[in-house]
Amino acid sequence: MSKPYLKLPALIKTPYYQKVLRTQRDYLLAYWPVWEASGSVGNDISGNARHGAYTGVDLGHPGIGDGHTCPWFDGVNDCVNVYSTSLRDAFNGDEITIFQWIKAVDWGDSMTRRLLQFLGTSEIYIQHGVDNSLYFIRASGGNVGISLPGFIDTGWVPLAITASVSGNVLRAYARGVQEGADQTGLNAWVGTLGATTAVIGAYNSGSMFPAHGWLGPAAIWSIALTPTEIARISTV
Amino acid sequence: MTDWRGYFLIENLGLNASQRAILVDELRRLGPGTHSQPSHLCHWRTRLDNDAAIFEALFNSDHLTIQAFKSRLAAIFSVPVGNITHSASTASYSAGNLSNVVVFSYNSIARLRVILFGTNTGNYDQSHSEVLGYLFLNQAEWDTAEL
Repeated sequence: MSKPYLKLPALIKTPYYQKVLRTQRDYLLAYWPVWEASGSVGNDISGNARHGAYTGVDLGHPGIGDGHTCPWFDGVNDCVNVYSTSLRDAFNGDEITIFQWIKAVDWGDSMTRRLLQFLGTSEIYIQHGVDNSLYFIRASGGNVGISLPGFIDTGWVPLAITASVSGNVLRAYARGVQEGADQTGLNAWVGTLGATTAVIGAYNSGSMFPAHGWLGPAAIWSIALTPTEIARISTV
Repeated sequence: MTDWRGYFLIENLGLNASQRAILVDELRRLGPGTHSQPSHLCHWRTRLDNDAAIFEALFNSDHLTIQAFKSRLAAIFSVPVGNITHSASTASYSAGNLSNVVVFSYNSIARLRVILFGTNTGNYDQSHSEVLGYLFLNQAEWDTAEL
């Protein structure tokens, strides 16, 4: 007699959060799924306990399609401060990937809106500019990055920057695909993360350049993920 | 008392640093002490020059009346409430919406401007539209020059 239940595992889709957790796990510094329905803590589920702190967001909105919810950012005074001394000490600005899902209210609102950033003296960030371009920048002794003029998407968009000083290459990704050419000329990272400038959805914990829309899972690695790895975590 | 969720701005026109600090400290304590939604707790954003701030929370509407601000200013100046005067007007920062603008004075000197985005009878969406419109018009004062 057959045992049909043995076939069930093949039918079960890997939960999205597990895909992220299984990607270069040894280098995963923090993963904030931002799926909490209430409260002030945005948990880091990487196992490193580098939790974030919600300010002003509205929790419990429909998420990226992974069965979980996400916060809504009002574009005025909301953010998630993900600074911790543990993240500061583990942070590696020379070998890094930053990753963020977003569904913007209006990509053409001519407002500067920082979506994800880590800043010491050097900085790395994804930002919507006042010129309605989408910027992927690593700034250390000069900006290295790309811009996407007139970027528009009505749905959820995964965005990422990978940078490797040892390999002298920065890549930007949107929707799981590399945008623009490989960028070179990377200098070593300078400075430690600031307590107010490791933030989801703003420039600082004072909510300068606040995001407007829904922000989904965010993560940071101390390695430049490959294009294949970025593509994998860019699909639910 | 009714709950009112929305945004209001204060702009220092003639308070010294300690007076401003007293006012800001009091305003930051408005709203519920605890709430499951971070959006309903009092939070704020400060203008680059530190002379204005936008607050948001689920407020007790009684705490945002003209009389309530007069009482706060009277306490700060240690004078009777009747010595604080005001002028009220309306402004619009988004299509179809209005905001209350009130300037409070003491000794014939303007001390504080308060903007209640969406007016005290508006809903959250109206208040949100108004504050977004205000920030769009005044971005240079609230954000440093960046890309």
